[in-house]
Order: sequence, then structure tokens, then C-alpha cells
Amino acid sequence: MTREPYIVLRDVTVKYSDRNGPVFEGLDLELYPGEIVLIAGPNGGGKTTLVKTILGLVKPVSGMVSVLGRDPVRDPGVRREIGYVPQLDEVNIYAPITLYDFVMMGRYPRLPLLARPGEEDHRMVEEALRRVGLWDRRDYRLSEVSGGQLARAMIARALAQDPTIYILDEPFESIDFPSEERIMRVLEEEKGRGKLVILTEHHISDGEEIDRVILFRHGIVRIGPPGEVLRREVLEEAYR
Amino acid sequence: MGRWIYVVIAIFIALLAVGDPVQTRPEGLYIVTTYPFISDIAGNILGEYGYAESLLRPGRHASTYEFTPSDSEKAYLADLFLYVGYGSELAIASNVAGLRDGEGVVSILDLVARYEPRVYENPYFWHDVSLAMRLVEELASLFSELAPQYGDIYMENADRYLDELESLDAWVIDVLSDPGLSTRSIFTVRNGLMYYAERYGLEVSGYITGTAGVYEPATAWVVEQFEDVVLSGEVVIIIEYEEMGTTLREVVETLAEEAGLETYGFIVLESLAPDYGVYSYIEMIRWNTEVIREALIEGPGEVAIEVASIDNPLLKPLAYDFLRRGFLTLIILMAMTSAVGAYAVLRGWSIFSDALGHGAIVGLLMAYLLATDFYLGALLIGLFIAFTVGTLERVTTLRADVIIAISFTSMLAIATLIISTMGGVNISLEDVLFADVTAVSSEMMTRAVLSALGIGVLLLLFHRHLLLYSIDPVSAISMGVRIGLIHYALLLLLAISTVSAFMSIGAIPAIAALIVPPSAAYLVSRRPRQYIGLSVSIGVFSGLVGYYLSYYFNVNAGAATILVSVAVFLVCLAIYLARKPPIPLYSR
Repeated sequence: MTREPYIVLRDVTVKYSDRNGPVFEGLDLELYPGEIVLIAGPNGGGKTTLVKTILGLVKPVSGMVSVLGRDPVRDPGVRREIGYVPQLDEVNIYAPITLYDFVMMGRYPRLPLLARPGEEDHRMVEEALRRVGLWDRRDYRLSEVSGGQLARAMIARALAQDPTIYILDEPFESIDFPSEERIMRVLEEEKGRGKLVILTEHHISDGEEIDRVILFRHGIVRIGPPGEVLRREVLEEAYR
Repeated sequence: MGRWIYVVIAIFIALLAVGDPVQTRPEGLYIVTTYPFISDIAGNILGEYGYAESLLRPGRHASTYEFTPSDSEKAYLADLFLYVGYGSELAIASNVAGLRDGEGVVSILDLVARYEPRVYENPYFWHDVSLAMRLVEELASLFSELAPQYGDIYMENADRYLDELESLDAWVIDVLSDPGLSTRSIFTVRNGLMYYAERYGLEVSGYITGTAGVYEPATAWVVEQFEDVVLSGEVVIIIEYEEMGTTLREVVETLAEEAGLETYGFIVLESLAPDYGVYSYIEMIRWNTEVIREALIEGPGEVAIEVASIDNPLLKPLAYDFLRRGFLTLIILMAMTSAVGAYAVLRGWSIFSDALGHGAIVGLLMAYLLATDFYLGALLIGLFIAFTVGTLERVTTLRADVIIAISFTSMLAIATLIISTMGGVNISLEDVLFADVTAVSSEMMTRAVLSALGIGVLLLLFHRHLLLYSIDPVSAISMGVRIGLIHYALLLLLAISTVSAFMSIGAIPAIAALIVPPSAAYLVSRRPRQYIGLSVSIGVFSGLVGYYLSYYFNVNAGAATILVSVAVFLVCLAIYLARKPPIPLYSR
């Protein structure tokens, strides 16, 4: 790939405390525009820490992290360029908020203080809801839709944010197959627009749409196209 | 480690063996009382052959008294326990009666009831010195029965003391028969001078409450006293030392200010007042008489306003400045707390207001100890709690409710510790629960307005950040929201609004105002803007209706406001349930 990477990690070591060893050490990684990357690996292997490091929420003890050429710890503004989709249980789904308002939240980082959402914002929200197939449910409260629809709403919110990079934390955890398919289709479209899409999963699906898989367990166990990485003997090594 | 425990136990047992379990007791009777004026009277009878002491230290409020083991020991070991038998003091006596199986526990009201049967309705008989003399006689014969070997001595001491009281009585009669008095009519916080007035030719024309006890001022009664008594222009307003730190005193001060009148004080009813040099019963009566004489000479002064003649039932409860001030402050506070509470409920922090409400009590006590502004004390402690809880929630994996529970129980423990160390304080903690809106001073209203304005501006500016943070904090971080800042900002807003409401309408209405209106709105709203708007509307509506109810039904405005908001909550709940069948949470 000749394009400039969107995300670069050079010799990055992350440690939560001196008592415990590093979560990972001397990590080198480059992620490029127009690819869908799956970070897979067992629970407790450091996937979430890796994501937090990219978001600038965890400060490495050594090494360099660059997101779109900026340091996410020193320059948290760069996070506006990241559409982060947390796990469902991070969201207060009983809040009095409709899907429409929820997706509009994706526009918040781009709205000046006191400014109300403009035409462009409403257009982006409508488009995002239509793309995930929830436009006709826009007036439902979060608690009134299914888990799969909620997951789609969260993707829609990231779409409305119009970011350069998407990070989805276990987006397919306990959702129905049609929703998963729909989400993957939207993500492929985003990839087609030159966006970088990062997914994390602890269980491995077949990964047709995935360009690269990073098998992660306290560092990169293996990185490459799904055909190379998602092989029985490789997985056995990582999940052993 | 295990071995050390045995060593510690061994040392403890050794110390028990060394210590002398037999108490050294004074010769004669050992009498323990609730109030210090009773122990003073008893002490005068005992003389050198006995010892009397009170559980309440001079100058302290019975309502803030907390038992300590050494006090329980005193009450248990005493030959006789004496008390009056009203208000919070009765609770102390009941505890002692429990300790002693009811043996040797005597109410001084029972001792004088045959001379003055009204003492059970109004206990303050000792302000009539002639009745106090009957008490002395009764006590002297009681003591003589208990310790016949000292009977003669006690009788002699009592006779000497009765001589002193007789000349005191004559002195009071003399002082108050001064022809230079411009009025003989008085208004007090409690009806504590009834016997005094009857004996010495005065008249108690009005008061806010009968005795000290659990009393929450009700708007209509306050207005009635104001119109019928204060505005008559014939009374002098005298404040009791025991009411210095209470809402009731604030109510009376507010009425006086509204009428353009001075208040006089302080007179001492029961606690003695070391800071005014009042250490004994005789000093108390002398001090009161001087204060009352001065007030009666000065006279009521010119009443600045007239009784309002308003017939419109909607305007009548707003007839005077102090009523309008209370009403406006209540409405503003309800709007402010309901708005801030909306975010707190969304964030799952509603119990936080509880921690702040309880913590603010410690703030009041600290402010009292340091003789500084109560609002400032409560606010500083509120901010301290907000910061501590907020930080612990961020740096530990403990849930917010656990941290909050630790915080408010420890704050209440600190408050109790301070109170028990001091043997009670001279501010009424009952008032802290439900204050009174008719006691809102201009200064308090200004503070409420300024807090509300500040909070309103901050909420407008950071509404979206707060919303995002409350609903989906993880995404908020990833969107570049400075979540730490928002976290502490919300805590700060909660602290300011709780403390402002706490100071004007009391702790319980403050906590309710933060939680109930937003919860009602939460059930029926579909959109954030609607939710917050509805929450504020319910808060304001509750304040409005609560105020009018308090006026027309003569009940406490804070309590009425809470109940109106709870009624609205029930209506919202019914709507919610009618809209969709109740499905268990987490059924997804």
C-alpha cells in the first residue's frame, strides 16, 4: 500500500501498573484508509486497551501513537475524526431519547456552543438512519427497539458524525443476523469512501468483508488477510 | 500477626484488672438532670451534701443532644434523674427511663402540677418565680425522703434558697411595675413566657409555636400572627436564646423586618446562656427581666405597613413582601433543581443529592463552630463531597451508589460526633429537614436568584455535553468531550443547587426537588428537550401549587411542594403504564 497510514503505532508499550507486566510491548502497527481491519483475540488479551490507546484514552509508557498525524493524548480534538461505537451496555438505553435524537448526538462534536442543529445536520441524520434501515423508526425511544436495531442506531450515529475512522467495539455481540449483514454493508460502503474501519471481536466469524485480521494477544500474534490468519492452527495458538 | 492479637487482648484484660471498678461518689445524693437550670436548682438544695449535674451543657439545644456512654453511665448511677418533659427533652428522659427501668426518674411537671395544672399544656412554669419556689419545696422533701440522714440539711438549704427566690420574685415585680413601660404586650417565638406574663402583669399576644419540639412553620398561621399581632403595633417582639439558630427565629425576624420593627433579645427559656453570663436559674430570670424591661420601655415602634386588604384568593397569599419573596424563591429553586436534577437522574446520580443534603448538615455545624456564614459552610462541604465522590467514582471501580452511601453515612456520623462532643449545639437540626419559605431573607433570595442564573447559563451552554455524558459517557469521550470537566461540572451544579435549596426550603424538599420532577418527566418524555422542559415545568408547578396549598391549608410549604410533585409523578406513572404494559427491565 502506497497511501499514508491513518493510524501508526511505533514501538508502543502500555502498562497499567508497575506490579503487573505490560499489556503489550514494543507494538508496531499501521492501519490504512480504505480497509476494514478486525482485531480479534481472546478476552483479556488487550484488544480494548489497544483501542483505548488509539483513542488516546490510555497513555503508552513508551513509543509513539499517531492518528491522522496527530497525537491523540495531547490533541484529543482528533477524536472527533473517530466514529467510536461502544458496546451496547455502555449506553443508558432507558433515557428519554428517540433514535433520531440519539443519532443527532453524532453531530454534537461539530456544532458550536449554543448553535442548534442546522439543515445539514438534519440531512446527515436522515441519511444515516436511512442507510441502516431505521428511518421509519426514528421516533421510537431507544428502549423500544430490538438489540439489533439499537446496534444499527449506534452505527447510524457514527455515520452522522462523518468521521475518517470508525472503531466498533464488538458490534455483533448478541445481535441478529440481518442487522449484522446490514451493518457490514454500510461499513463496506464507508470503506469504499476511503474510510478506515476497525472492528474488535472476541469470537471469530468467517470475515468475508474483512481486509486484514490482527490476531491479538498481548501483542500481535499474526496479522494478514483473513485467509491466512483465520486458520485453525493459527487460532489455536492465539486462543490456547 | 496472630500472636499480636493475643498480646493486645492480654494487655486489655490486665488493664481491666488494674482499674478500680468502684466509682468514687460524692457524699449525699447524686442527681442528674436534663437541663442545667434544673441541676442548678437541685444543687442549691443539696449544698455540700450531694452533687447535681445536667446532661445538656449550658447553652445547648435538646434537639441536638446525642448520648455518649459516659452520659449514660451518669444517668444510670444517679440517685435521681430529673427532667421537665416536653419536646426533644422528653426523648432524652425516655432514654434514661429505659436505662433505669423507670426507677427514680421524675418529671418536675408532676411535682408542680397540683399548684398549676396547666403545666402539661405549657411547661414553662419556672419563669413564674413563685412556681419555681413550689418546685424547690417539692424537691427538698423528695431529696429528704431519698436521703433522710441529710434531710435537715436539705431543708435548711432549701429555706435559704427560697429566701433568695422570694427576693428575686419581688425584684421582678418591682422592675416590671415601672410606669415608664410603653407597652405590656409581647410577641415571642415560643409561648414560653405565659406564666411569667401572668405573674408579672404582662400579656403574650402572639407566638409562632407552643413549645419547642418538632414543629414546621405553616404559612397561614404565620400570616395570621403577622396580621393580627405584629401589625397591631402594640407588641414588642422578643426572641429566645434557644431559637437563635432556628428557622422559627428567621420567620419572626422576617415578620419584624417586613413590619419595620425591631426585635429584642435574647431571653433565655431553659438552656441557660454562658455566652451572656447566664449560668444559673436566678441569673436567667434576672437577665430575662432586664431584656424584657428594656424592650417594653423602647416599645413596639412605628409599624411601617398596614394589613393588606386583598380579596382575590390568588393574590392574597402574595400580599406581603416576605410572602412574595418566599414564593419567588421557592419557584426559582424548584426550576433550578428540577433542571439540574434532570441530568442527575439521567446519569443515575439522584441519590447524590441525598449525600449533599446530609453533608450540608455537617457544613452547617462547621459554620456554626467557626462562627461563619451557614450558606458558605454548607456550600464548601457540598463541594468537598461532590469532589470526593466524583473522584472516587472515577478512580475506583466502586459503583456511585456505594460511594455516595459511604459519603452520607460518614457525614452524618461526623455531624453526630461533633454534636455529642459539644453536648448538643444551639441550632435546631429539625429545621434543617424542612425549613420555611416565609423565612426567606432578601439575601437568601438574592443568592437563590444568582445561583439559578449561573446554573441556567451553564446548562444552556453545556446542555449537549451533559446529555451525551449522561446517556453515553464512553462515546462522549471518543467524541472529544472533556468528560472529566463535564463530570465535575455536573457535580458542581448539583452541589450549588442542592445547597441553595437546602438553605431555603430544607434538606428533604431539596432532595425531592432534584429527584421527583425529573423522574416524573422521565416516564412520559420521548425526547431530551421535552424531558428537561417537562421536568422544570413539573418542578415549578409543584412549587406553585405547594405554596398555595400551604397557605390555604396551613401546612409547611416544602412538604406540600414535595407531595404535589409526587402526585404529578403518580399521574405520569399512570400514563406510562397505560401506554404500554409493564415489562420487566432488562427483558431484552
